[in-house]
Amino acid sequence: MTRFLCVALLVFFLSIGISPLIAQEFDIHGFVQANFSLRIAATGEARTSSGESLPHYLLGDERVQLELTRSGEIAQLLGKIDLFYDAIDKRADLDVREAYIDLTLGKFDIRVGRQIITWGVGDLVFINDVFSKNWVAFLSGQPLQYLKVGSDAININFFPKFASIQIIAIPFYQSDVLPRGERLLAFDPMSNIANRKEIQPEMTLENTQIAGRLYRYIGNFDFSLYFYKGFWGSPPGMILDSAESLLTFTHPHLNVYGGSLQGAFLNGVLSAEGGYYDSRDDLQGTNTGIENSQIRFLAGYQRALGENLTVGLQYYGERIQDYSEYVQNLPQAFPKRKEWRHTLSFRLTQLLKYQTLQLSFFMFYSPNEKDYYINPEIRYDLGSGLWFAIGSILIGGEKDYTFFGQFEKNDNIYFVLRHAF
Amino acid sequence: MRRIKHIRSLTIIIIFYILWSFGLAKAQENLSGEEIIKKSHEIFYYAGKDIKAKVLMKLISKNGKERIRELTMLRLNKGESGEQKYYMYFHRPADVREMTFMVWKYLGKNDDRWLYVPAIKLVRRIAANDKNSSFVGSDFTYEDISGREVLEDTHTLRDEETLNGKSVYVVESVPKDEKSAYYSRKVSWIAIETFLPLKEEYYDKRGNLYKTFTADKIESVQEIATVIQRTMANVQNGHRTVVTFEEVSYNIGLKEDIFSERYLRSAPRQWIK
Repeated sequence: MTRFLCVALLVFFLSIGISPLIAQEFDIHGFVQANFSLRIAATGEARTSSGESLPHYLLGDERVQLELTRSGEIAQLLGKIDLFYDAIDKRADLDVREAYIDLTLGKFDIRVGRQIITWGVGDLVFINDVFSKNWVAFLSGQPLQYLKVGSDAININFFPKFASIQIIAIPFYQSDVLPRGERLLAFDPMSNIANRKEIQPEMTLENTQIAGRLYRYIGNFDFSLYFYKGFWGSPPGMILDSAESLLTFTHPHLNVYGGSLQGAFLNGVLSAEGGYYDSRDDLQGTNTGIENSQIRFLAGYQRALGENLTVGLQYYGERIQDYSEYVQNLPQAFPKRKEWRHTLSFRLTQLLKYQTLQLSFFMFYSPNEKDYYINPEIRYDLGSGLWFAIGSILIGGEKDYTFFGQFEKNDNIYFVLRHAF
Repeated sequence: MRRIKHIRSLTIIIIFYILWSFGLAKAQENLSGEEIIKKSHEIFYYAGKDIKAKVLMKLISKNGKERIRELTMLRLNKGESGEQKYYMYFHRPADVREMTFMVWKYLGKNDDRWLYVPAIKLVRRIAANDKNSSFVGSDFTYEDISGREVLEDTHTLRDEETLNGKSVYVVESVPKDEKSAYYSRKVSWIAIETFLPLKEEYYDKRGNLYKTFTADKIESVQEIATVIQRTMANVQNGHRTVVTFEEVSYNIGLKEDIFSERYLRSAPRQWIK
């Protein structure tokens, strides 16, 4: 929270203050939004991790987002602040979504501060994009932008002739927001251990996360190479202290090396991305508290089917590297994962009535885990920056411990009403 | 007698000469439908080496309800190849503010298109085979905006007439491949003087009038005749889109590197204010 305030104060100070670099435009934009989500799955006897019955509402969120920008020739300041009221926890708070300064210096673009970073070519599958995410927001029906969480980072972009280079240093670790059996129920192999804590990587120079991307066009394709040195976000590591009955979540070291391409192919757009997740603290794959190394890859294809109608197909595969070691060391109480997880996805988007009405359907289905995630949505644009969306998230599977299957009690219908200004 | 014969011969020669030269002149003027459309395309879609325009689009429903799209457009011609690069930055409405859109236009194959979604800082390619889809919810399709390839239609010069006091060619264009266009027939009124399209009528697959295009206001910008305001009206449902170029400048010296992921993510401030 202190960090929040620092950043917020900095932005406000700079926005109001006088700087020789920044002498021109000052802009205020933003939106007012109401966002509700009602659980529709039968919860039976299920309880939250603190033993209470599950809330009917997953979201009761009202917020104002203010976006302040101040721009000059070479520098630009941006602050994006959310003031929100959570009607379920009955609390109001402030969230600094983004707060950064942009500098444009010849062949360099530099961004310093809290920022959202996105790269990669997957459709809701992130391989090389290891930056912080809020999966609770995503699964409970908040607009997509809330899946991404800002990283406090220095982001340097260099554009020499032969390729573009992006180097990011993130000194402050920001963990993913994961369902932990509160509003959203998730599979918990150690549900009998009530004492839990999370250890964040210490803020040291050594622990600074480093990410890089080298990219360019080759022919009509966009090619990228990626590198990341940091920590496992999701799933985190776990250390069980049976004597103390204490479960500690940790963030073991992770390196990711990968690449992607995207370009026009057979009247559509072809995407492919792959990455090797190098689990540095468990090179042999024998430590069950730390995720094994993995290979992850995807291939996707998107095209228009007719006027204002597009379809997207995608395959995503994930393989546990040292599977036999994983199996040998797996404790009895833990369900055994498969060596491969195959996931197919399908997206259909139809725009009607001069694009004021958008019907969309998205589905993940894993043929070998037999689990799914389905998200139909209707969005209507009322004009003058006012729109609403009604959708549903249906999620489940044959087993209650698989990637999607574990969330089956969180099926919901959500509603968003936003007025942007 | 002989003198008379001479005079007669001379007269015949003169008449023949006059007819000859008149015929020649007529033949030079007699452009084919395809040549007219080709020249019109060059003037309408390729004017200048590059262009920067602030564009205001009003999307107006049958009952008069207006929606606004305001954007800055940059366009660069790539020499004589017919290839072009487009960059668009949206100022309004608020929910698409700062969104950018880039097109690398080719002849003979699908364009490359990229979209930048500022809320999640995402750059992604989007399929470009939907040339007949609406451009940002307007009555213009993507193809109406960047121009359908001349060779995809058979163009026939139907007439020369006067439209609002201007001499025009009337050219009818019929798609060679029926499925490639949303219209079965298009009739264009093209100014003989400037080669700008002053009016177009699009007929649907049943042969009924579907949309009309009109160049409402033409001004000379840096000595280039420019359509400053245009309207595409759907005569079947009463919806129409009025596009106004609020600021236009040609040959501003755009470089190709503007049309890249760098500037999709962070708009070139030199050009976009």
